[in-house]
Amino acid sequence: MSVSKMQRLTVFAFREDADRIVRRLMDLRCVDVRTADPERGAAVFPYLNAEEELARTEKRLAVIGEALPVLAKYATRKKGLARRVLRVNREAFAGDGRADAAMETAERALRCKETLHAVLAEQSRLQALAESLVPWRGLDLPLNALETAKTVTSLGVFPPSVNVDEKVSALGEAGIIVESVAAEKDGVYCAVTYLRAEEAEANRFLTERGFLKTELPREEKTAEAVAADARSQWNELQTRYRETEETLRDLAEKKDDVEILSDIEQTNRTAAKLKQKLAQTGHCAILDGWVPDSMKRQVGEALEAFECAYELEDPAPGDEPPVLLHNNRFAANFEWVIGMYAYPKYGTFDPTFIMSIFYFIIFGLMFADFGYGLLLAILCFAGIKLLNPRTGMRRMLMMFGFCGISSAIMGAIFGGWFGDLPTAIMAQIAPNAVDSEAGHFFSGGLWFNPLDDPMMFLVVSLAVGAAHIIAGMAIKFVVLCRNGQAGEAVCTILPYWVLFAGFGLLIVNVAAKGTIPSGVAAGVCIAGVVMILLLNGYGQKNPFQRLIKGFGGLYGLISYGSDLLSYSRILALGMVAGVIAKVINMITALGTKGPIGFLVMLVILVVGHGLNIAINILGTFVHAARLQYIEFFGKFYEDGGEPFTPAMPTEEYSENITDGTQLNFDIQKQKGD
Amino acid sequence: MGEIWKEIFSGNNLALLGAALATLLAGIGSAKGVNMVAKATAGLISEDPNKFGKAFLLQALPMTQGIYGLVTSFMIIFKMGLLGGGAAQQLTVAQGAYFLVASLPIAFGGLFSAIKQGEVATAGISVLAKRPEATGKAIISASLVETYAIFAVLVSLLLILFA
Repeated sequence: MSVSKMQRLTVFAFREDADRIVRRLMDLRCVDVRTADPERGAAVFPYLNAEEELARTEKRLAVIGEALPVLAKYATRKKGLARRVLRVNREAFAGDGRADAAMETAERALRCKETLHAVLAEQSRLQALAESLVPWRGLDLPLNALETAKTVTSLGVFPPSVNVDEKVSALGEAGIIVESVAAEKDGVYCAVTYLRAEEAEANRFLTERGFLKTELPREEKTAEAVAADARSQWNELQTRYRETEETLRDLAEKKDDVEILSDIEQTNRTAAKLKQKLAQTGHCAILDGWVPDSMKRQVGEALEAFECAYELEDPAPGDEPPVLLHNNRFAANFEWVIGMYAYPKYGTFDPTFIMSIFYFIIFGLMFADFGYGLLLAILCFAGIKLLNPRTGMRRMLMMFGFCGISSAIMGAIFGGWFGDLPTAIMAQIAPNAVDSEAGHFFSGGLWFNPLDDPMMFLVVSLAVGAAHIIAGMAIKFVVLCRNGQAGEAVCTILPYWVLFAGFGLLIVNVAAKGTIPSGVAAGVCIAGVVMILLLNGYGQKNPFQRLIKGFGGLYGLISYGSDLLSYSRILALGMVAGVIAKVINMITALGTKGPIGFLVMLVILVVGHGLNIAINILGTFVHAARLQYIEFFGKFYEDGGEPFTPAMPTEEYSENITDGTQLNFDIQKQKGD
Repeated sequence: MGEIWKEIFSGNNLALLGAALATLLAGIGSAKGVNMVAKATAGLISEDPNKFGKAFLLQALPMTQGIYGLVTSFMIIFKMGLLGGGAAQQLTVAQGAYFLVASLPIAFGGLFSAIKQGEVATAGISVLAKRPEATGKAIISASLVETYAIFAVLVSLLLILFA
């Protein structure tokens, strides 16, 4: 309903208390700590140094961050969809050694991970070695005995295209002895022996014939023995791999503790970063921040516990306090739609509540289907119940759940029940029922079906649009009056309303065939036009310029017209969803013969309607939001506020239970989690 | 010779031509638009696969024109009585031409707006890469272009419903 009032908080404390004070304020979750102004009077103070502490936590967090995915992989209890929150007293956790044990677990998990990597690398090396030795099984020389004083034996491969037997004689003539070891697909593996004295010539001779030398480890064993060694080493490593995995599985039992430690360390990091925002003097630290007006008593009480001086004051004229929106339980779920656009400037009007009502109605009209809406609402509310999501996600699901209810209501009014499913079924099994009362109810809904009377639905859409636009103007009117600019409000907004009233009378006149004397409507219209001409130039002294601004105001009617027509998208999006649903039902009806036909029908129904819902929710969400941002906000909104982001402990995995001194204050991070 | 032309351009065939154009042209536009965004998305998720969810929303935006075209085609086919088991009506050339004209707004409006929307959504992907918190604004920007596809399908559908 409103943008919360803020108080500027300044705390002067002893430096040794800085850490405790920062953490206490984080626990309160209602102080947005700002970088302290280092200039106080004539003096310029440096910032508090927490580099060392920050580096230490970053280092620990790096280990934890790498260890957690490893532990998650080996945990027996897999992470479900539902968010599970551990509850623990963090102070006790850190005090009784569990924190140290958790750090030890994380470090051991990392070492295990490194071991696994090393084992895998060694195993693949051994495997490659064993494979490369396979063709040399038949070689009965130890691999280090290939050279004598006079001769050299080289191992290598002739390409498969070479006929070795033919070559043997040619090589023999060159003084090279060839012994074929194995013939494989990729070539003939040979040991060739030549005199050391003729090495260069022999090499050239062999290269010309496509001989490729192979280097094998020069060990005192035959190739087969080396390969056997490699295999047994591989097996030993495999055992080690399994053992390390077993260790990891044991460590993963303590994953919860590591998660709690992760939260604690992240909280420490936040605290260290906050401390760096503090200015320091010889013995003191100075903290600057913003506190919601409603929380100043609690913050004061918390600070009384320390030996410190603090001050809470109203924002000064040049200040830009952060913006915290305060809304009822329905509208608060729509705040993130505002966040997607931009937060209102501090001290201006918070339109969340009015926007939420129009969003609710417009979403329902665009997605008017009882079945779809009910499904959406059930899915969203069940999601909240089952998944226990964080605030941001929870609010989004709540909002879509409410929008689903709106869609269901509108669907009942405008005859959408998974499209025309009831009448489509009736037409198949009891064609007479289509024309019955029930049939009429299902096809026409409580009021009428947009597909039967699109013009009427267009009128409904534009009427909602007109209400929306006029609501926007009314907000501007009120805001101007509150700021003491009632004159401007009356002169620049009221004339349009007179004209709109005239248009309204004209329409009523056409619809009700002249129940109102025709002159009245026209008269009101003319009065409106004249008022715009004369009054729109409010504030201009020069009468000529006033008139020009008056004409400008008349020209501005075009933008109101285009804004209004923009609401015809309600009809278009509603019709598209309805027609697609109808087509799905019709295609379904084509194949309803026998049990297989029934199954096919069921699949088409589920998949078709599922796709229709998915596509249309996206379109409806985006266009319902667009109508707020452009057509509605355009009339009054002042954006540019910075969301209020209170410092708070990290609670990604665990909640901190303390001995009751913690305040139960429900400000959640405005940017969402 | 004249007889052949008369048979080719019969009322029913003109209406079917309209139905075909609506899905065809709007579909081409959507294919092109989604293609552009999807290519940009591929680059993005090679860096950061976690952003696929939001990128998918941007990819899905230029898809709607193709769906509008499909809806329009179905409405024409409904009106002709080709679906639903009954015998098809025999439309006069003027009636057929009416359906053909009715399909043009979404056919061409869909074609161009989908491509242009794709361009904005592609730019939105780079917003997602650099400032993920501003993605909502990029999605809304892309949806502004869609306004004209919505108006196009509205006119097409109204013309067909009133035939």
